[in-house]
Amino acid sequence: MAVTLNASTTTGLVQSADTSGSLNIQSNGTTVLGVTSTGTSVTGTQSVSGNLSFNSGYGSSAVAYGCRAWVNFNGTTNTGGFCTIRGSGNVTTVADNGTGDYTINFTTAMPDTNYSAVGNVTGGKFLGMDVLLVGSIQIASRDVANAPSDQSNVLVAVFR
Amino acid sequence: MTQLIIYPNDNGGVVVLTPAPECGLTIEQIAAKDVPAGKPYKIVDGSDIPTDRTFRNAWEYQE
Repeated sequence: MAVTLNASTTTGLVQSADTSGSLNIQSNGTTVLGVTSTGTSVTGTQSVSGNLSFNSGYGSSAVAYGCRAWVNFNGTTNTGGFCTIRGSGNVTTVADNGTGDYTINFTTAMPDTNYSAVGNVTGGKFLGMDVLLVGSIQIASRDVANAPSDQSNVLVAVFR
Repeated sequence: MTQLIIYPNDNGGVVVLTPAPECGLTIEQIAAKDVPAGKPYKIVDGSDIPTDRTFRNAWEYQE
C-alpha cells in the first residue's frame, strides 16, 4: 500500500493515506510516480526540459548527453536484397545510395549539424561520416583497399 | 513483404529506401518525408529489388 494522490477525470483529486512510508502519484488511477524509502519509479514517457543528471558509476551526479539516433542494419545484399534494419531509434529510413553508400534519415531532425556521430562496421572494414545534415547523415563504408564496399553490420549512433 | 521506396539519385542511379520498423509512419508518410522534393518515386515490394549487387551502382530508375 501507499499514500496515493490520484488526479481523477471524474471526481478530481482522490487521496488515500496509510503508514507504509510510500507515495504514489496517479493519473486517473494509474500510478505514474512511485516514491519509496529506496527510491522512485516512473512509468510512461518522460519529458525533461532541463538537463538530465545522474551518477550511475560516474562518481558524482553529472549532466548526461543522450544518443539522439542509432541504427544497426545490414548493408549488403541479403534475402530481400535491401538494407535490413535490425534495430533503430529516431530513424525513419536507411537509404541505399549505391555500393557502400548509405544515408540514415532521422525521424526528428537534429537542432543543427554540430552533432557527433560514431559508427563501425564489422569485418575489418572502415566507415566514414560523409555528409552531416540536420535531417540525415550520409555514411560510406570501404574495404582495406579504400574501395566502396557493402557491409553486413553497419552500426551508427548520433550524439547531441 | 517489406515495402520499399525507390527514387533516382542525381548521378543516374537509384536510391533504395528501407523504412525502419520502429518509425511508426506509413510508407506514404515516409515517402513524403524522406524522398527529396521533386523526385519521382515508386513504392515497391522488397522482392522486386535485385539481390545481386555486383553492379549496384549501375542500377537505374525507370518511370
